[in-house]
Order: sequence, then structure tokens, then C-alpha cells
Amino acid sequence: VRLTTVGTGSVAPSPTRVNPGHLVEAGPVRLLMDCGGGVVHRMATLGTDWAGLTHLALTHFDQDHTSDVAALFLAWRYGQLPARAEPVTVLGPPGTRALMERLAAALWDRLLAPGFPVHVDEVAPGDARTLAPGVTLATRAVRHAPESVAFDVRADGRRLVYTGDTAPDPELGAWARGATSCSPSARSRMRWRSRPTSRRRASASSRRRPTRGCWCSRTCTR
Amino acid sequence: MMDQLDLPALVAERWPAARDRARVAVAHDGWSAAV
Repeated sequence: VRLTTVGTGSVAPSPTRVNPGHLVEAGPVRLLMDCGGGVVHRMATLGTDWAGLTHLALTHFDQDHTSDVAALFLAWRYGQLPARAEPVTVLGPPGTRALMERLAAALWDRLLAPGFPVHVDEVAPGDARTLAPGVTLATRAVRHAPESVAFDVRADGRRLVYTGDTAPDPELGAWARGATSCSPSARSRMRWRSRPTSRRRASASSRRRPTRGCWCSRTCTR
Repeated sequence: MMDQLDLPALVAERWPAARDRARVAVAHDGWSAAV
């Protein structure tokens, strides 16, 4: 299982970090978790196989996690020859289809019929999906946007947890225990726990905003 | 500014019990590894 941190930034413009996007490669699965502004071109910069993504999973619908979704679909359709023909599955919490419809209305009316099959799969918190034989994705609600979920991806005996934005939650650490985890929980920040259980439980602090308790960005009003 | 923080030191300060077993890094765009 390979993890690539495509985008580790936030809404704060940065010369080195674009908005959140994380690529998991596991067997036949090429899963992009979140797709914020700059992620598509960053994938090209990094030489990742952006054309071969099989799944896109959204933790929530905030702009900085979704603003390159249409750009990705347009790249698949018009950014390569031949255009994409393979299906793609878009996973996300309930409301994902409505989000895609809003993006289609605003940005590209063929977003849901771009010339290749698009499957939108809304995954309620606590539910799980099999992405391919031996590769699963499960969700857990997190404290941020009303729809926010974290992802638990398992493959080849490994477990990777991606929280998306989240406010402090003492139960989240217990849930993620033992996993490789990452969390874009603060401005331009990632938090890590190493894979080996003997080294697990590493944790990094964030500059919390006590009055609001959210780690996501200075512009967050939650 | 956030990129300049010494995260391992911050962890040691705020979670001293985790100091010896913490492995902390700030990932950057393009970090990639088998996990």
C-alpha cells in the first residue's frame, strides 16, 4: 500500500503546498482522497498516475477539499488522448451526488456524463465498501462539517486512516490507534502516526482555536 | 510559519509521555512511501 501526499496545504496560498489530496495505491485501486485546488496539476508535477485513478473519495464538501473535482474530470475527458473510457467511482458522505450535481450546474454540465461511466456512491458514517478484492474503505463521522467523515482504508494487512478536517475528538485517536494516519487538521499541516505498532501513537500538536475548537484553517467559522 | 515549527519538540512539550515513542513528521506535497 503506497500513500502519496499530493496536497498538504490549506486555503492559505502557499508556494509549496496545494489544497488537500492524498493518493492511496493498493492493488488495482488508485484512490484519491479529497481533491482540493491544485491537486490535479500537482499530481502531474509529481508524475503520479492521475489518469489511472479508479476511485475519488471526499471527506466533506468544503471548497478546499473539492474545488478540483471538476478539473479532474475535465482532465480525464480533454486532458489526454485518448480520453478516459474507464469508469470511476466517487465516494463520499450522503449529499455527494447533490454536490456533484451542483458542480455540474456551475462548472461543466457533462460532469456526471463525461463520456466514461461515473458511479456516485454515498457512504453513510459507519458503512464500508469493498473497492476491489482485498481493499476496503470504511467511514466514521468526524467533527467538522455536518457531513464530514474520516476514511479507514485497509489492504494487504495494512490500515490507513485519513481524517480530513476535524475538530479535537478524544475518541478519534482511539479509533485510529495502530493505523498509519494522516490528518490535514491545521493550516498547512499533516499529522502522522508511523506504521509499526512499536512506534505508534505519535502525535503532533496543532494550534487550536479554543473559542471554536476547529483545526482546519484560519477562515473556518466552525 | 507552520512549516518552521519543530513538531517533535512540540510533541515532547505537550505530550511528554509520548516523547520516546513519537515519530512525527510534517508531510509535504509529494511525500510518498509504502505504509
